[in-house]
Amino acid sequence: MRVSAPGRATLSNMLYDALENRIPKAIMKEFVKDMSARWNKAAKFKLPEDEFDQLVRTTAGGLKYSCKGESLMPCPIPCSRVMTAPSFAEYHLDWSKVGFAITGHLRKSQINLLETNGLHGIVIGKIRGTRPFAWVTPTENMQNTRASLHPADSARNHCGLIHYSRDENLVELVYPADIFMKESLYAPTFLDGYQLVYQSKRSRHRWGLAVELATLADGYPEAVHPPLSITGEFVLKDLGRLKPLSHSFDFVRFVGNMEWKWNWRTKGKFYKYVK
Amino acid sequence: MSNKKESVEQFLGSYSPDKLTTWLLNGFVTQSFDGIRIELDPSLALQLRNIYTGFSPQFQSRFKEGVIRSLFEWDLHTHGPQCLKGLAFLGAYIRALGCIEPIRFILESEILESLKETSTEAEDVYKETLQVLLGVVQGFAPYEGVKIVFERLYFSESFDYRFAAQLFLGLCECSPEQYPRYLPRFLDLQKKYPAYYALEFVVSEMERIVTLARTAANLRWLEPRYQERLLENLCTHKWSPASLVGESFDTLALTLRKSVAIPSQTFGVPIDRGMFIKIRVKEIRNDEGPVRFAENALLKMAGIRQSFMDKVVTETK
Repeated sequence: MRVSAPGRATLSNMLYDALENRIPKAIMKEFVKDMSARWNKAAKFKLPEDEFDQLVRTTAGGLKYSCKGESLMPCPIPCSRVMTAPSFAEYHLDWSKVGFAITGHLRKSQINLLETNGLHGIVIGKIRGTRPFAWVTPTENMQNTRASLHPADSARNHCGLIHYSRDENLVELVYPADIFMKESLYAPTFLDGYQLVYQSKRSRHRWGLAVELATLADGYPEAVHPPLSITGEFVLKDLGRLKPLSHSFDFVRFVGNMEWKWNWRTKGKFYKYVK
Repeated sequence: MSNKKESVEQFLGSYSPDKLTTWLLNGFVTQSFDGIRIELDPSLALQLRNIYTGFSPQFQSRFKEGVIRSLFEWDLHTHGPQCLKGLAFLGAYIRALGCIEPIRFILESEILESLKETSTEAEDVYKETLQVLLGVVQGFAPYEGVKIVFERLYFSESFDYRFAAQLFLGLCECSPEQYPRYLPRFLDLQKKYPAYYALEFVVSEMERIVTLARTAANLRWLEPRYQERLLENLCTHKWSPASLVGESFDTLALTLRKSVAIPSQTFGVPIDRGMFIKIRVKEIRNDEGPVRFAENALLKMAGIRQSFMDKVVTETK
């Protein structure tokens, strides 16, 4: 994994989480054991990144290795989730109630309707991604984003959402203010963020910190939660259309800036930790 | 494993149609696709759509065929409803028109009915799956095939009423001027089962699909009780001046929600509506900005109609 910059970023994040005690030692030990066993059995042409992905994604339906960071609950901070409008529609819209057709995008007028009429009685399902958890950021930060000239681009940049590269409409799902007083919320770890532009870093209130795509500076605070049911108490806000990314992300510089770097010396420290 | 579109095309390109079908079916069952790295977000179908857009036109056609074939080969007990939903979403996203046929077959064969009675959870799965299938077919309207399938379902007594909003709007998309044929059934069902539909969303969608001008022009084909219910719910959101400026007298009258049911002859004055609106709009053209312009147009129309009404009352006396 250390051959590629994204692979080195994952290893450095793993190191940070271990040595800064952001993940329970028992989980880390088990992960290393599972990963070694898997790698020893893997076919020659397989890449370690893919074995890592398969292990995290498939073990116990993806539950074993997600949301294993520090618990942040009870958390009084209101939260929001940024997602693409088609993704929101596919995961959460009760099509039979609203009567919208499925085409792969929501019209502006439809998003406006959802924004103004609210989500009461027309949403279903649990909030999650293709793995069983979802990312959130404080709503307070999103207010600045919404006030910017290009809210969708600003949200992508400050939340480090490099995988949103298409010309698509972004929306903000605002959670009920006190939801994380009762529901679980965790600081993210390398196990949650390995596929993304992600840095393991502690912020105020022990949250994680996204990476700003444009400057590589610290972005908005971020946290993860296990699947939870969406209700009419949630609010949808339109962030407008994304512009295509104007630059590619500089992974090499990003890895170079990381606090803990994976090298022969730190590697030794890590193995001593998990022994 | 990389998601570079050329390399995905290269390895999928070596697959036979059978193997591509199996790849798709297994992928949606296991929620992971051999040879593709699945991101955390968005959904699987959207990620596949994103990869698909980079394929060559020839391979796009082959891939579409693969999706259609997978829908034909889908089996409830082998692949499950989650897989069906994934394939249907993908079919909609890549605009595979051929999906209508296997979906029609699934709908009409009532395969999914067996899900309904087993448990509350299964009942939810049934509803969620069916609404996705209908939404996907609806997304291909105004294609003639959609109208045929939807009319059959909409007017069938055995079909599940919960999906009437989707069928109604799909039919409106196919034949907007025929909305008076479809609306009464929907309004009757809505009255009987109000919890099944979000009326404000459905009427707003109808307004967008049919347009105010067509709604107004064909309103007379509705019975007065349906006219009233439609007008009660129409234009509940803030209307856009753009949707009114330059429209017919009917449209403006409709948005005022008054007197629309009264034919012009009632006034005893023949009105060339086109001319009428032209003259009035010309008179107020010097106003500032489109919002003021449309507001003034509406106010003037209201005033003018009032003067007609006064005239009718006087003449009757």
